[in-house]
Amino acid sequence: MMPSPGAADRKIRCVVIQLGSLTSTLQSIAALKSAKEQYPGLEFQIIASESSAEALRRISWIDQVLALPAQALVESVASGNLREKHALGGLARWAAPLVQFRWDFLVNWTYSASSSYLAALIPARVKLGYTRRKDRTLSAPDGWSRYFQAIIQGGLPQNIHLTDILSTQLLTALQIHFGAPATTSRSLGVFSAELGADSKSLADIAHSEWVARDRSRKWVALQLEGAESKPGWGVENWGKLAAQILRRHPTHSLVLLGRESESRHALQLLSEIRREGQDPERVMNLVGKTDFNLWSTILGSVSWLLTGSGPAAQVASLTGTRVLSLVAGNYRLDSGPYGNGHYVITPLPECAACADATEARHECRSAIHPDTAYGVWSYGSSEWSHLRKVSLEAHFSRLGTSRHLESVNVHRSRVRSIDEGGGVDYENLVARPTALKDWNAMVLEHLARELYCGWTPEIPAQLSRVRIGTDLLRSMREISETSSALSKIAAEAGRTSARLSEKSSGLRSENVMSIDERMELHALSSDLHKLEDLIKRLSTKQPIIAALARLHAVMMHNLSGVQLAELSSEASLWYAQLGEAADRVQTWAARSLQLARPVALATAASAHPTKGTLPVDSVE
Amino acid sequence: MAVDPNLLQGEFNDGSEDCAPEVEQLLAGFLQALIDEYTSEQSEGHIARQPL
Repeated sequence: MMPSPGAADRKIRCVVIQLGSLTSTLQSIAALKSAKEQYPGLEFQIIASESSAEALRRISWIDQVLALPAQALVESVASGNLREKHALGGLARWAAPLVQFRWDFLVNWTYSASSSYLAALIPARVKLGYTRRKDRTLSAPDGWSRYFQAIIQGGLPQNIHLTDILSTQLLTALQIHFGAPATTSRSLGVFSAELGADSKSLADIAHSEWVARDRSRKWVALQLEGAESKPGWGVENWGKLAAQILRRHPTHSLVLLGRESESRHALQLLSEIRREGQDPERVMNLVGKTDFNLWSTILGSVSWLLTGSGPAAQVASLTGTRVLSLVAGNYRLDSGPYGNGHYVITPLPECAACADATEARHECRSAIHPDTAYGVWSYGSSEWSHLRKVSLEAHFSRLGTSRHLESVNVHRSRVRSIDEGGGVDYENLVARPTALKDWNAMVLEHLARELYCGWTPEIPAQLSRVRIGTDLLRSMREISETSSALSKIAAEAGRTSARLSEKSSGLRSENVMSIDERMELHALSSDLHKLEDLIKRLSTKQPIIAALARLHAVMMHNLSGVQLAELSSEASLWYAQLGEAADRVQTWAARSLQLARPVALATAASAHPTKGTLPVDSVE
Repeated sequence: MAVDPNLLQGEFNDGSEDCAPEVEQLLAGFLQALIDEYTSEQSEGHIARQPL
């Protein structure tokens, strides 16, 4: 049945489970905002952690926020103060309002084991994200959830921003179940100072030092990182960056933000600024003096935020403020600031923590020199004058700091046009051979769009950004061979599965059969196991093949059939998809190898249409 | 999995009015997973690793 034309305005009751960190919650808000703009009838109730509830209560278009007192509950049980039986009673009473009626939509964006049990408890017409089956095993019922489980949580780099994944997941489901979005959409704001704040908080803002600031100046916020922040950049580096901005840009002032625990760092930073010959009076120190209301108000009213990887970047991007993030080498761009014109600097050399993905302290960020951070910020903040016709390399050359670009990657975000597939894309502005992990990330994006969006740009357009180096060339040859082998194995496994389905569907019972029939089924099953072993062995050859194997494992885990005939029939369809994905990887490798034909290398300066440089001291 | 809302109305305090086993099992799974996540400090939402 076709949905009615006014479906987008119809009331749609949606419960969202987001029990993750504030950063994850803010990414979810961006996706919900986009859905609400297109489906104004959506009503959101959000189940959140207590630490995120304050932020959510300041959003006018979120109807209700229910905080889960998880920490107190867990601590009470762990300390023995609360018996588990009583804790269950408490949880039951807490969950009771959620199960009073059947929701239209349940969206579980926490992607955790605990949240999947909660999702299973709440009745809803459509469920997205993790839930539990009747036997209480984990279930990822939709394609994007499977991609999330296999690729994102598998720690594999991929190019689709998390906010875009969440938006696409929800909007696609809305379109299927409730019809096309509204033809005209109203742009929504995010945080409102009037909501979720008591009168004291509002008075705090009204009388704050921030409100009384000199508004003729351009304000840049600098978010200090917590002492527990593993890949910290160091107060000395932040101080040198701040001093450079003050020295070269007399019209600018800085505001320091951070928690009370960073007060000592703030004083050290002010000392560093003084040591560099700059006036600390041009810096407003609000570290430890802001609640969420004032903090988000400031982040929404400065021209730039300079930060590490914490939630400040998400708040700033939600409120339209541009962000410069300085992060460790293993940082995922798919969770970077969302929107146009944000910059992310990552160090090129990997440290032990990057290579092992351990919890060890990242030493790599020390490879980012304060001059690099300044150069990137001054380039970004003067885009209005050079319109990006000047390359980043040329800008650094003018500053006399080109050597510092050698040890970093600099990515700039942009919102792509619908013709290019939409969503946020990060482009590396430093011209260097493409790393294998970046190539893999591009291919995974392509495959995901093909699998779950049904549309993807042509390969050549995407390959225009690939620069083949010797290492990548070697990998391409191996990928070409392994993907070809995977394609053949998938084809054989598909045929075997189809035979298994055909044979088992002809049986009167899966338990009672002739010896010949049992042996035949056993032989087919044994063949399938051998082919699965081959897939596992191939997956050790290349990360992109490992990604396909992981996606394959998640798909197999989520087969919905009960009988052998149904299961093997579903499996044969997925083997066909696996084969197509392997063929697509092989095509990418082949096209990439074609790029390796000998050509004259472009110099850094000639790689961009205009070789001009900027008068650095007048960039603003 | 749809759950009868009435099943959650039972009090657990004295065990005199238990809810249906499947609801209790889901709640117990929820509580245990919460404890596991907080104990292992993996309650980071999106990025938390999940065993297949």
